[in-house]
Amino acid sequence: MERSEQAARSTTVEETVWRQYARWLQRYLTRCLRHHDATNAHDLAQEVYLRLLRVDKGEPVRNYQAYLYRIASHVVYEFKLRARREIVSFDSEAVENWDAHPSSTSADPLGDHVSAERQIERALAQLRPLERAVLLLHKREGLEYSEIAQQLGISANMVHKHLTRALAALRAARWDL
Amino acid sequence: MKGEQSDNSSITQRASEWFFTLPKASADEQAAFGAWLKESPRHVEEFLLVSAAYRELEHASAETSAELESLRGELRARVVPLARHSSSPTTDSSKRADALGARAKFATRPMSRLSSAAILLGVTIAIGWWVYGKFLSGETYATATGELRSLELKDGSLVQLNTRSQVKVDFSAAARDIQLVSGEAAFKVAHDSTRPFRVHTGSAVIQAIGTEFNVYRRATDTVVSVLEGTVRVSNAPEHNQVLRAGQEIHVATNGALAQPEKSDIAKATAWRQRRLVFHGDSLAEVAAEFNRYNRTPQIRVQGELARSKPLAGIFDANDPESLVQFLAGVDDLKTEREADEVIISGRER
Repeated sequence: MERSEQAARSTTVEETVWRQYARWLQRYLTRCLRHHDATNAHDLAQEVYLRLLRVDKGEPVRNYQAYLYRIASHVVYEFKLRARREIVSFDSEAVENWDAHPSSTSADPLGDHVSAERQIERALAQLRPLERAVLLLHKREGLEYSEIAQQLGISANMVHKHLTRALAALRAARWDL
Repeated sequence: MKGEQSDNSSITQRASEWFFTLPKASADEQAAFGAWLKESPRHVEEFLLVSAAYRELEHASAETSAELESLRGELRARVVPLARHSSSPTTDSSKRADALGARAKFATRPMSRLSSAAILLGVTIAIGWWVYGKFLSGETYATATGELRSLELKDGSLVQLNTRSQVKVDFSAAARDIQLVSGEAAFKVAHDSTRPFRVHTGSAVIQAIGTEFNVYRRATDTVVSVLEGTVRVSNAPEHNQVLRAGQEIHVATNGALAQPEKSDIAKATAWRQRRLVFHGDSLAEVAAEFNRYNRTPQIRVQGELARSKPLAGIFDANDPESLVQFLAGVDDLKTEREADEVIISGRER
């Protein structure tokens, strides 16, 4: 009995951890990829994979997604820490980049920011209209499959198919990796 | 080669499918997902990338919502003929109209259903709106905590709004006036010698012709920094200071102008990349800046020792956790968490 209570508690902890860290993780990956630092992204995946194999020998995992994000965010944190130790005082990883190419990053910050948004929009624009609509309704408006299906006059099954295809295409359009 | 490529894209497809299956996955599916992850580090990487791509959609600008509207209209046009084949065409299409927004529905509703009282009310509102608009014409743009927003104005000028900021744009044939109601904004002004571009902050007017500058309206004063070109800052027609690129000026709330000084442009504009730059600023100031960008956690610094502690570094404005984790490693500081707050205080040795 105690064990099931404990298990229930640990799932909620996992969910919070997931919510808390997913944003962090996403930012890390985006940054690696924006600077074409594919090695970091590969290293991250490799390390996460190894830990996944190692830790999983104990209790069975109930929510692999949350579990994966948590491992990944720990690895990101350790990577950050390592980078930080090397330069003694605190600096986000941005510093290295600024030092290396001060002109390229600060030449036109307003333009840079606009261009990052544009890149996401360009990647979106490459999707088929129906796929784009399904994806945006799901993410931006947080609609359920049934609601999206009703709005667009397609079945819930098709919503799932279009979502899957749209996200895969978006990811492929975003990063050449 | 070709085989590897198609292999990669099928892993992406699979990762994407898992991403949408997981929220409602059964225990068996969870186990299958775990097994899939353990098959290859490529699977792990692809799932992380797909997750990142999905989350990144948050950063697409507001225009996407407008696009979504038109897209939905487009799709409706395309799906309506198909829907005619369904068994209950009328309910189907009316439901869809409901979902497509109240505006269209309102237009199709017969006039007779509006009572005269409602018409009267409508007219009153319209007059009120017109009078209100006369005095407060122009469009208002605002950002929430942590939000960054870029606007392109009608003349081609760019405005970027920092967190918790508000501007009112009022363009006329004679001038381009912008009211910085609160917060901070950067301006990249399109050249138009016939219409001056002016930013009003309550205590001062900043006038520019074809230039780029940053205005930060704080509780204590307003800071104007010039990145490019020249601007004139004035608190009255006869009182003004001309600022050149690389200079900044502090304007007190009563309008008093300080002498222009050299500006740290990288610091003044770091916010546009969601960065915070500190060169020996006190921890109290650092915490205040982070709190400006993030609703939670709020960082509270207690005691003079901790409040005055100087700090240098470049931070991600949306990542207060990195500051907290950094401070946790500083020997003479103590960090505690309490609900949505992180309390930093000095530690006795």
